[in-house]
Amino acid sequence: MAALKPLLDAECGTTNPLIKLSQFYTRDNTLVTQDGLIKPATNNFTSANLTGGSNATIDELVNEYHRPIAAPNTFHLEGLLTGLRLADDALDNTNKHEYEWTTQFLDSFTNDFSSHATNVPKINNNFPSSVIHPPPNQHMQVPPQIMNDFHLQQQQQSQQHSQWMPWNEQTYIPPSASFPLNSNPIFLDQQPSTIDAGFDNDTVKAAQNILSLLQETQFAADTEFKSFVEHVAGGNGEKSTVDAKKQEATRDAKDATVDKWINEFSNELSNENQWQPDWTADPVSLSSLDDPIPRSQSWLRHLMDNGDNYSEYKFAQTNPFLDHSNPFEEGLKRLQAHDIVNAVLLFEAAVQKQADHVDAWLYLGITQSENEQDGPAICALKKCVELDPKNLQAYLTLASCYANELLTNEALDSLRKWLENNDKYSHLLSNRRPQAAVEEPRLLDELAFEELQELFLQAVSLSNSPSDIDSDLQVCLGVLFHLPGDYDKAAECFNTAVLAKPNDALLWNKLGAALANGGQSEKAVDAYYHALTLSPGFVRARYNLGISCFNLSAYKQAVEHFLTALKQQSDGIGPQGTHVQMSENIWRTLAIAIGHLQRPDLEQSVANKDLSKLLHEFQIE
Amino acid sequence: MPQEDLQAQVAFAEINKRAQAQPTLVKKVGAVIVFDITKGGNVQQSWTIDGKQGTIYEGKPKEGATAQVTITVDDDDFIQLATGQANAPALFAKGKLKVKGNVMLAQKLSTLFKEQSKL
Repeated sequence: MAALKPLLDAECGTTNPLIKLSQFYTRDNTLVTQDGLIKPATNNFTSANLTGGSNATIDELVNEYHRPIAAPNTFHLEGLLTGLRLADDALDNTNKHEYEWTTQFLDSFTNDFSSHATNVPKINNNFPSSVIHPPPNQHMQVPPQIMNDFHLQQQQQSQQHSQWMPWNEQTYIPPSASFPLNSNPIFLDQQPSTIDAGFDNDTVKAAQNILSLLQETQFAADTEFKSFVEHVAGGNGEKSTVDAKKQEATRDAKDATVDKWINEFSNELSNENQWQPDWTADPVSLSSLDDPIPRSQSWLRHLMDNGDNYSEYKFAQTNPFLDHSNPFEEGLKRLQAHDIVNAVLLFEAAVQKQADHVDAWLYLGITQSENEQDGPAICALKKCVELDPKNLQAYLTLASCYANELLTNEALDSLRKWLENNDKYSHLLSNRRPQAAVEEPRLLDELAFEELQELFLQAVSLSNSPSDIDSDLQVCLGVLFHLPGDYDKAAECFNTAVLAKPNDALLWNKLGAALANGGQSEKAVDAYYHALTLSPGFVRARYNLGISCFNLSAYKQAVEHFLTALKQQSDGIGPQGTHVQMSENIWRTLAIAIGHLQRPDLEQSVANKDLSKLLHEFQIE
Repeated sequence: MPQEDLQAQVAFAEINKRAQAQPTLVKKVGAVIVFDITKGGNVQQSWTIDGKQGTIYEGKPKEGATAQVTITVDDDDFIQLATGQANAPALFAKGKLKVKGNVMLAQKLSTLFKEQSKL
């Protein structure tokens, strides 16, 4: 496979493919390489991001600042300034663009120093300290191992720079206000000794240069960036008033910090725009997506509400296997034989026979998910973890199911539980500052997401050797990235997992889904075929395949795939000819696909769920 | 306001159709999201996706609903978004899409525009 080529080629000087992976974890906003040269704008984007228009150069440059790259060894101001000038020339002189750029430039410093973890970065030079050249872009060339250089990155904080993040920050923060999450306040105030002590003359001069440059150009006058640079230029000077306010907040214990932050931030914002008070007054409800209830309670209510939806498993009304002597064993056999639908019935029988059968609940959940029934899957998996709170596989599957249902908080929660209960990595959590612990509300999606991302990346870096891939960990990372829509990164992670376990149909399906959601339908189709070859009864993979055909405008094929999937579900018959409930999702998408076929005569059949007629119509046996 | 020219009109009709086929779809978005569709630089028309009520309609949010996310985008780019040819973060990076509010919520819109593949 192409992915292995870099391993096999003995070339020195080529970049380790793992570096590409690391790129997603760290970011350097300068254009500078180790030698201080400006890097050519390498095509490091996937097709989903790449602009193709006449403004390519400008856009590429803009994208440069979104692109996660590793940082140079020493702080080369010349390169940095050139980058500044280039950026200035290239970007429109609109406040928004400048603002974005400064935001991210700022972030690169902030994140390097940010004090999320207690393993305070050993800053040798106050600035990013290792260089890694980005490899030529071979999309989907996946590193089979975690790179060792990543350890270098341990010195700095792991980054969270999906495209999502800068997008997020830029939107609701007016230039004069503070950044809520990974912004200066922590940086400037939390590590006063390390930062201030470290500013040597060179740095100060550099900052003064930048400052004069800023004053020449039309950079927004009141940005944090400018005040930061002023701060640096002053050597050790007074902090700006904006920071001073934050200073109080950040001096407190972390828990209180977050609360105060949000309070101040909301207070500031409530003065700004009219529609914001609603939002800022109840920021939790944003993530809880629920009625306006007291902020401290809303996250709880949200989880409880969803808990109600998934609290009781609804068993099939008639189950031919209820009297089976050993339904669980038989279920496993059916699963081996790729007979998903009957396996479901058998596992249902197993838990009805013995309500505390942990593995039966687990397999019921996993199999229902394969059967394109996330609702019942979630119910079953919840029961499983009730009985066995350390069941890693359950948490992993739950995370995927919640992700499919767009329940981001629950997905994050499941991922966190996976980490907590995983003996290999749970120590990472105890190393952290005592953050808003399990009992306390996670106030914002973003906070939880960032924290988890960091933790998982730390976990990844723990692997001892390049060939030691924890595919479950990769899956967690993949699901994590999938949540904010970072499909390309998610696909990379799943691809890594698949390399470690090439015979796992579930992994191929996840890979396909991430590719498809990221717009890469052809590659997705390929992945689904892998999955279906390994497991022909894999209803979900077939459903996904239909969706990808649909996205490629192959409507007839899409319909055929959907019908096959439905047929497989309805074939789950016992001796008496009863059948498992068919998936609503598949019917719904089938309806849309048939709509595109311009066959109004068939729409009635779909509405009636007349499967046999449809099967006949499309000649599917 | 002349809106016959807006392709967004057609797009929203499609979205509405999809939403009707799956009643829980809009509620899954969860938030109130407003689209300000521009043409020639000026906002021509707005559409509200009320994820709390589960409705989609033309115009600004009705009383009782406040927008949690406001997205300003040109008509042509909106069509790209709605047909799944472009995704929001990409458009945003190009500066073609402006967002006010919680971006993570906006991400959920993708389910309205195209079928989600399942992990």
